[in-house]
Amino acid sequence: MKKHLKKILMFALICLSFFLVDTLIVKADNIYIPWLQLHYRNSSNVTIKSVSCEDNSDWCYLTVNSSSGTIAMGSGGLVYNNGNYNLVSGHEYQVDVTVEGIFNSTNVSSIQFGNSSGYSSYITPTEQSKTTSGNGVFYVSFKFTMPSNFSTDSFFVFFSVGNNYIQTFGLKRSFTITDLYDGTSVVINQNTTIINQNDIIIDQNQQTNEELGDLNDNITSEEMPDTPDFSDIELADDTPISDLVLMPINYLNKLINAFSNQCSPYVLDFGILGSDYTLTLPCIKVENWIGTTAWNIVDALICFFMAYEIGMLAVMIFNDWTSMRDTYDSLYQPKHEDKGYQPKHGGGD
Amino acid sequence: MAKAIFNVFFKVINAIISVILYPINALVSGVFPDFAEMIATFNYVLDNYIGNGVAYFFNILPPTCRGIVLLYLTLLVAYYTVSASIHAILKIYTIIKNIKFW
Repeated sequence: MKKHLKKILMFALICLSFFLVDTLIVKADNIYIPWLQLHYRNSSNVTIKSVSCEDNSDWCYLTVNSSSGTIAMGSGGLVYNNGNYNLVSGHEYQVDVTVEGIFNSTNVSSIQFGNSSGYSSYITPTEQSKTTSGNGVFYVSFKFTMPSNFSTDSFFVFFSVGNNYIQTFGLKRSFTITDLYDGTSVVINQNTTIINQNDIIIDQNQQTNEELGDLNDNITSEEMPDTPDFSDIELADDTPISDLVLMPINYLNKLINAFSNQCSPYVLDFGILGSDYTLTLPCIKVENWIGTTAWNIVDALICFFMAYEIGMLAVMIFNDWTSMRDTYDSLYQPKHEDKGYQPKHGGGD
Repeated sequence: MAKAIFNVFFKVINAIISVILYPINALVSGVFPDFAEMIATFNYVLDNYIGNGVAYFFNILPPTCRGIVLLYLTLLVAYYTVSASIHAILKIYTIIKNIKFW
């Protein structure tokens, strides 16, 4: 049975690799297969990696690399533009947006306003809809008060998203903004060019990082003068042999983490198409293809097989550890009875 | 639980091996920089393409199944670790016993 399973697995892997190769050979600038998208990669490694907007779609898809580090909560910034709609200082507004993807929470952590002369400070929403998490389409509603003395033509909304893996999520182009002062409500449709404002967000993120760096320097240099300085101690940057020796362990660690995580998209730097492209394989949900019942049957079969394997492993461990008594006994045997000992002048036969 | 055990295990092994191999790493990096770079590339390719690919493949499995596979891996690693440790200790003990320097 084990042999058969290995063969089936090998066959599945070969089929998968053939499929991938076949797909990748059909390379085009705007390749779009329902569950396989080729994204243009942003040159920076900050929060938003790419924005993909289809002409005939109401949605834009953003690939967020939230594992880049220093940004708290791995914020992914969604840019909304209010177009000709004027936000009046002091007025309170309610915004209803629709997002799609895997969210740890649909919490709006902060909002920032921008115009041609600069950006406002970050403000937190005065009120927002109940935070939910999961995979799917979410309707998020939040309120804020427009800061005084600041005219704006765009505002940024920072959502709290997953902080340990790369995600692709969707943003509906249209959103509703309601002026709670007079009750007027407007639906605003954004165009593609307005949404693709990565550079602005990158600048803001870099600015935030620099401020955090300055703050860190101040703390270490001024407020804690007695802190020991370990900056002279340098560990080797290159650890080739350690990396090589630890490769199986790191590999296993990666595998273990994969077992524990949720199904997530797989982003692969794909060199043969050029340095500007990445291949994004979205999370595959086999359940949606073959049905819940069939998937549960597959699940149960694999579980039964693994239970059998665990049982066999337990028997092996038990046998091995009980046979260790012989090993212990051998420690107390006289030397001439040790295994492999041969008398120099063999007598007897 | 299983993940925590693995994390501790990996960190301990990592620390021990890194300390032991520190002088060799420094030597190889200093004397054979190209070789060190080649190893780094090899590791990167293996980790990025095969590691992430296999991880992605296993992500497709249903959660219950993944839990059981994780349990199986935990038992396997724990068994080999304990067995290898006991055998190593016994071997060291035998060697010390046979030296008889006293």
